[in-house]
Amino acid sequence: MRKLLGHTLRLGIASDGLALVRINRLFGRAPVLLAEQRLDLFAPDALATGLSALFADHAPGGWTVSVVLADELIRLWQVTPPQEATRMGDLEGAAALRFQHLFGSPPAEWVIRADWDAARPFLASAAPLNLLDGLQLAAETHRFHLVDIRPQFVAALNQWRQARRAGAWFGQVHGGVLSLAAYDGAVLMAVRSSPIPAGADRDWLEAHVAREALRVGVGRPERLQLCGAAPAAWGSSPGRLKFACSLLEQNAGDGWSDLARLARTGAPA
Amino acid sequence: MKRTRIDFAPPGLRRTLFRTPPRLIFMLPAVLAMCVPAGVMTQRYVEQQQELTDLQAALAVRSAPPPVLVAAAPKVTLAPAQVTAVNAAVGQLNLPWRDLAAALADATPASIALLALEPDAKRRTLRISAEAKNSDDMLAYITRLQAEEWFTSVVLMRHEVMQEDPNRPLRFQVSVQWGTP
Repeated sequence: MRKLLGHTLRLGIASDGLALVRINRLFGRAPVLLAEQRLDLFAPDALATGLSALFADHAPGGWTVSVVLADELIRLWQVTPPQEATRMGDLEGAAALRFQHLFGSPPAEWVIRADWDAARPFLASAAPLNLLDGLQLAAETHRFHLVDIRPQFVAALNQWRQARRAGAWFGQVHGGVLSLAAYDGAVLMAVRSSPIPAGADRDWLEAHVAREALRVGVGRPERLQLCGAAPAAWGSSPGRLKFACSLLEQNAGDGWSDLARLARTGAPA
Repeated sequence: MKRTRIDFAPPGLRRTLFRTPPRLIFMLPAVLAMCVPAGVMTQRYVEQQQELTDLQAALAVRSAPPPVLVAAAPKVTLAPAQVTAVNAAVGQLNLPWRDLAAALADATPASIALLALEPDAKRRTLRISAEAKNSDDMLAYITRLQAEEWFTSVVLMRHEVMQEDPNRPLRFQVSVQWGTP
């Protein structure tokens, strides 16, 4: 595959498939879906086989590849730094302890990365060690350069960070799941995910946000900003609204599959 | 809002370059364009520094005090006799007294009383007048002088028993010659 100036590949990895998207970081043109591959990621050697099939017509040798991991593959949690934390090891220990407390097992088979902050609660994420090893092996096999591996929600947070308003909650709709980042002012308090029931309307959204605010222990937001394939009915309309809701992707129903949308998450809109 | 820095990719140069905003590449021509005048100005600066160094060197030469002219010493003409006398005096002054005294001290035992030393720098000889209790001491002394490496020849010139002295010592004279330094 011929590489042009500014082009880079984005690889989306979900539990049910892979997708490959080409983007141009330099001139901001629309992403191009190159291939999709359905698979069961938890089957033996599924990642290596699936990537070989995905790259069959699009050899990625020499390309830089960004990987987006679906949220069901990773774990996201909020960590409160210990008081008087002075070393990086203090924060890493706190993140590992919190992981064990939340998920019931030590993070031996996981790799933890976080937005480390010694003064305020920070977001941490864990990815399976064998998945990252498989990606590294695939990079060596297919001779591409792994330059970015992020959870989808983190990629979305960064993609829309310039559009986000202070104090507003941020949400992502993907694969029938609503992930919410609950903020108290500018401080991220929690990330919570919930399946969206069939026929969920604006009333359901308002009730859900109110419940999540109570669970997290913060006030209900004045604004919710949603990316992804959110129903248009969730957008603000005049009248009986408890909070404003902005849909950041107006053309969410542009015919892209969930896998393809996963791969392009984080790319310039 | 600030960026959330969570990334599982292995660190490396490519990742760092990837994180660099891509639009910075559009600044590359401007950076190159700035490099050209910067290079020209640098070259001019170096040339001006060289000129300044040369000027300072020239100024230092110009402002230096004139060299002190040493008047030529008047040529003195000496008569051959005077030359011989001067050479003799210089030779006498150049006599290696320290080495001579050390060699004599090593060779002279307590049984020998030195009475006089008469050096002759021109001939590199030293006449030693001394007294010994008997001839055995005298001969032993001469043998020790001959063993000194510093002396090339040792010759007994004369000797006599001092009858008027109640101890009847043996007075003798030895001529020694030292080698070229």
